[in-house]
Amino acid sequence: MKRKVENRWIVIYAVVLGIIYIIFGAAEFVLGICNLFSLMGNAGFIEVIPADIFGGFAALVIGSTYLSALSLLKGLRESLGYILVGLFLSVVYGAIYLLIVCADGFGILLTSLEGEAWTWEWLTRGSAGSGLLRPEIWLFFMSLPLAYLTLRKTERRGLNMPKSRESL
Amino acid sequence: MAETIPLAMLQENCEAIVVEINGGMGLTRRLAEMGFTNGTRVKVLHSSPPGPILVMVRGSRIALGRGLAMKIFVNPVEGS
Amino acid sequence: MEKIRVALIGNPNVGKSQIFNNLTGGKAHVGNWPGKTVEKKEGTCVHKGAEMHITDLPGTYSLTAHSIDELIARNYIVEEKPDIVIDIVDASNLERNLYLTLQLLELEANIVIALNKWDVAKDLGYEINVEELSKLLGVPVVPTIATKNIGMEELKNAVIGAAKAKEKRRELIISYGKPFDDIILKIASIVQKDKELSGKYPVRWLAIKLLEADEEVLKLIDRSLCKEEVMRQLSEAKKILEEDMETALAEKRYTIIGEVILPKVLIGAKPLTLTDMLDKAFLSKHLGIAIFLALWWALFRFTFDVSRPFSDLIGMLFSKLGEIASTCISNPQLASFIADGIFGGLGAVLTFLPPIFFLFLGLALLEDSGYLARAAFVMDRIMYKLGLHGRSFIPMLIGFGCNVPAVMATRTIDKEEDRILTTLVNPLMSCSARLPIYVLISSALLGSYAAAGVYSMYVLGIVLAILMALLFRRTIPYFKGKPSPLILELPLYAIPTVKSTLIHMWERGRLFLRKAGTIIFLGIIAVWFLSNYPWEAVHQGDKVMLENSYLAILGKFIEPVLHPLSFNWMAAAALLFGFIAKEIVVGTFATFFGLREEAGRELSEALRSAGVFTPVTGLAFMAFSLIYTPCIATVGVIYKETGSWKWTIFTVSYELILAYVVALMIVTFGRLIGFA
Repeated sequence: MKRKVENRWIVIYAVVLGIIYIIFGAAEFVLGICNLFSLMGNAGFIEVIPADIFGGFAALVIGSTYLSALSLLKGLRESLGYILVGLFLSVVYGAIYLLIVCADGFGILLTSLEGEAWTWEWLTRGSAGSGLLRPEIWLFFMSLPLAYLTLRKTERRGLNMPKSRESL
Repeated sequence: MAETIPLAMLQENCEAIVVEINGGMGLTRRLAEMGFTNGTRVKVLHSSPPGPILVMVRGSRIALGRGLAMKIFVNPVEGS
Repeated sequence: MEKIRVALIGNPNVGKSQIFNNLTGGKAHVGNWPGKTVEKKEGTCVHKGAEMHITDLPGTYSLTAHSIDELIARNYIVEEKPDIVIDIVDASNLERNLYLTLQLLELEANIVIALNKWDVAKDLGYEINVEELSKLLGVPVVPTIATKNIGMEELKNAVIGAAKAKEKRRELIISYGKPFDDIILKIASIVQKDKELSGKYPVRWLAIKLLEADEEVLKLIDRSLCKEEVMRQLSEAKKILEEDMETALAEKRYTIIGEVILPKVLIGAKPLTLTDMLDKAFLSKHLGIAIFLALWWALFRFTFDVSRPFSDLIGMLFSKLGEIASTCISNPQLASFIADGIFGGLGAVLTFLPPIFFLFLGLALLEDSGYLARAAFVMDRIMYKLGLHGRSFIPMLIGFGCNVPAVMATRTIDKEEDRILTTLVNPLMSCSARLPIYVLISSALLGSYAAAGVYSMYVLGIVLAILMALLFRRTIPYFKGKPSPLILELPLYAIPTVKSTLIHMWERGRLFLRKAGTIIFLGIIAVWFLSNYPWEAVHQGDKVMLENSYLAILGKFIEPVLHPLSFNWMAAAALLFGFIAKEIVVGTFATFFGLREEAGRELSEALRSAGVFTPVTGLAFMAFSLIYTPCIATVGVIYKETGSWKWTIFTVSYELILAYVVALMIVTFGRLIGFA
């Protein structure tokens, strides 16, 4: 049935993303620990993976959430829930790192007004570790198709999220 | 004839009817205000001990500490 | 112009503040309810020649005498007798919301129901018969969607209409069934005889409350002539009815809602929604807490890293202003005052603005989306073990930004003991003002371990907070016993609206702004004064001899006390000013070295080469700054929220002692392993 096949693809996509997140997360975490105790100098690995303990941890969490989509045994609903939350976290971290890169750029703009030279360094190195090369940013973009597929599936099942929210 | 068990022991996705609340007056009243009155139908949405338990009652999702949930007695409903 | 007094009431999470903002255009006068720490919001709305004066009552599930919020709401309605009470009912949660409505009807309030979140109800598949509901309850019912500003005109019209038709209002009698109704009538007729009471309060309501053994109403009867008769009736009633009448009546109300009202009014299945799907992950036993931690970290990154350029911008702006001032003003004292004192001061204060507002923005997003309640859920177990209430973690989170709004946020915790305990350990959460202290000292003295140094302070703060919470629970009699159990409603998830999120952010942020604008600024002027005077002694020709300033004298005075910690007079003076505001500590050091820029390598260099600290004593100093008394503003708020000098003094004292002890331990340990 078309629906069953589509389900399986969504889960596989999520699991693959999950594995990648876990790999990068573990790498960042380990590098971060080394950095903390000055074991290896200050560089990130291959200039792309920053040494970041908590960021690494967060990536591990995102990966684990995606991998939990494997609980298809408990039903599609549960599995979709994990995927949606994984997507939410991907978006959050992707957006935040992008914002940090922009903030760095803004910062460089400010120092250039003060007289220091303008560089493009902020694109690849800065507060977010490796700037635009940060894995989580790429993974965020890679998650977008999954987001599209999953949301389309939930819409069809009539599970729209109310677009309004009030607060006390 | 279903036995009466504490809400804390109800499985996820199971429904039950509230039978008795074994707390002090303050507690019983507070729970009653939130909708936990005798004869109310509740459904456990989420339960993983020893954490709190999430229950659907009268259309709202209410989280209860587990100790509290031990004091609410319910009759499980078949076929959930 | 006709004046109509309107009160807003409703359950938590129904959209009350959104409706308030829609009606008043967002302009609110915020104060406190007299004698209480609960916030009171008021605003006005002009519509069709009538001026509506709107008061926002606290959100509550019921109107008993058991909590301050409920009493405030109830007393306002009964004593102030507003012309109209708008009862905001969540259409997606009709059953529970109508409970409050029934209580309002018994209070004989003149209500207009705003049936809000109409769109959410529709999404859930509900169909509500509005006319039937209105007919059954005898009051106007207006469907609204507050977030989209839909239904507001109709609501205003209904309010005006109802105000005009006040006398023709149909009185609704809620029947509780045979035994109850008879007794209520009997008691009511007795109370009726007391002209004072029956003139002021609805008699039937008084009777019901007496039956429920309502404390406040009992107090009223106490002074009345009919007291004896009433008491007699009550004891008779007790023999016939059950003991706990309050609960019995609560059940009856729900029975009425469930069996009489809902069947005629509500149709719709209750499918499990997107919210439940998301909750599978967010509340997961294994992942729930991890997800929370990941989101917390994201919040931190957002708060500190994205806001940084804004802080830099502000710093640049003010140092430019300072430069201009010092070149343009000829009198050196005045120039210094304007440039260093005022501009320097303002600059220092305002650099803290961006991180704090970013933090509150992030928190507002998490709260409005509905996630924060889930975080309370997963953290509850841990909080409970630590002797804290499940909701304690929210003030803790806020505390990482600024302790002032954090302490105020403890209001959401019901039980007083839990609230005070959370307040006591809150200052150990390292607020953003302390961060520059860590950064300065770590970068100056810890070399490649600088990052570790900064992290360790946060960790230390959390660890100490946990230890203190456990300690206080065990040893102080007031806190003995367990924290109160969690009863928390988890709202549906939804995408937050821009407007309400920004309003939320502003509500918390402006507290810091107020503190900043006054206390910190004055503190900085004080530092300026003390470090520049006596003028001639300090400014000898081109040199600045800080050792001759009042500041130095002050520092040297305190120095002996801090001698065991190897803190010299500079550190002493800095700490002294840290009491006024932690933001000033780094500035004080900068002043000592004659630098205007507080950030930057120059100060680190200066600190290092002056040999004020060694790595070990530097660490001790950081720990001391973390732990010792919170800034004056926080102390002030603690006093306001706890309402007692006892707790305030206790907080200040235990933190001073703890700070000294921990710093001493660090220094001693350092000496032992050879790092003098």
